[in-house]
Amino acid sequence: MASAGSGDEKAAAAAMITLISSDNEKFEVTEATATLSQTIRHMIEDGCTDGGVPLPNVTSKILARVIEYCKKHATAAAGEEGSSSSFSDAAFLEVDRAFLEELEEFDDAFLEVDRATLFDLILAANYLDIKGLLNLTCQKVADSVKGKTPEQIREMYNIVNDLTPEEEAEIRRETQWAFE
Amino acid sequence: MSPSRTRAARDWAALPRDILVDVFFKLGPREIMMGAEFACKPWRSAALEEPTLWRRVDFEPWHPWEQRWGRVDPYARMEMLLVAVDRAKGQCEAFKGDCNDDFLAALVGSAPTLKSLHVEYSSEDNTEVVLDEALKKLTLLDDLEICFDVRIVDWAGNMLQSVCHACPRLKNLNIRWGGVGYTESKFNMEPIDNQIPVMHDLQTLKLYECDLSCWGLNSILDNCPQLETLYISGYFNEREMDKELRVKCARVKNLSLPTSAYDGYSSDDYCSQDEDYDSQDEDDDSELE
Repeated sequence: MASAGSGDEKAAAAAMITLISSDNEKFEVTEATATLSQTIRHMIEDGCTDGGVPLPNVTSKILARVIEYCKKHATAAAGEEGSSSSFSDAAFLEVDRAFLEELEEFDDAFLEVDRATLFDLILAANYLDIKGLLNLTCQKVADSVKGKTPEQIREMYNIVNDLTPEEEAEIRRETQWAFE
Repeated sequence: MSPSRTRAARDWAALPRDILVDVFFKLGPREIMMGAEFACKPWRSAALEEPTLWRRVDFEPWHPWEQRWGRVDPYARMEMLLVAVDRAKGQCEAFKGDCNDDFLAALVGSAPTLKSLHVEYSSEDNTEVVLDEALKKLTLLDDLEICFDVRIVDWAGNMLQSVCHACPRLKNLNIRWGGVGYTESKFNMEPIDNQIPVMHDLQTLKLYECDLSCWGLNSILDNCPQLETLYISGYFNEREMDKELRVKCARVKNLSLPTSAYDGYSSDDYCSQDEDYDSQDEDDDSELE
């Protein structure tokens, strides 16, 4: 809520945060971008971001992608806020719709990643507490699993079947619907 | 988990439980039960140990091209539904699916906390009794939709009346019969001609294929102070309405009553007639134009 509002706009926009990946790469981002992460927002509120924010669980490759996501979504959020005062309702709706469409396209393209990257993005989104990104990536996993048999799911996600033959036999007895 | 370990092997079986549950939420009960929960032990535990995943059990919608699901036979589907409801550990709030007498009794036993119940009911000899007993146990129910395959002709007393007695807290009630248009005459329709109890919270009432009398309509309007939407199809002689009844009708925001001609085929035409009941115009049809 706070950053892109009133007279402090300039100051807020200028406030930069340094994020440091697990492999020690530094990323300069605006506070508006960084605070899409609740984890980082809390750190800023607690005033412990001087000298950069170390993120030992996130590699530079993944952090770059996460920042790309946050930048886009922070811009969209700021754009929406700004436009609400300066456009008429109809124009605002039009702009709003265009934003949403653009954002959707961005999200679709953003998700065109291999499964290893998807996995890392999920963990990063979870660790950084970025609701939108976690939602997006979990939806991607859910969509990919839809309509698949247990075997297909295992194959797709490299999951080892650790159910013992006895357990599996019992499951099959109880739940025949999944194994016609 | 150290970065080197995650880089070496992304172990989808070891996804944190919160995240897996989030994915399972997006999948819904049917998809979980058709595949995901059998992938490995941790995924199975997540499915079995998270009652919140099963608060809303609804296997719809599905499409003809979902072949695996299409091959599951109807009895297995009912079995699945009961297993799903059981996993909510008594916290299931919403159910939608096929139903018969035995199933309903089992469902109510597992899910006494249901707030919403939408069923396609294959009625049997004893259905009126089973249904009445079941509904009385669902004390939190506020949303009920039943589609019967055939009309239960010899309902003890009156169908609407007994449903209202069993579920006095309903906000939404929708009752229809399968095979729209199979009743050619009003004598085969469900009579709406009785006094109903006061339904303090009822906002939406939809009844299909009914033989509505002014007395029945008057009772509905008098006893449902919150009614916003009233849709009834079937037979009704609106010319018998007196001015007082028309005034009461005018208070309902969305109102659609059967016209005197048989209305079964146009039961989906949802038209509001609430505009101008005070006008002296005898012919309601002309008002709709």
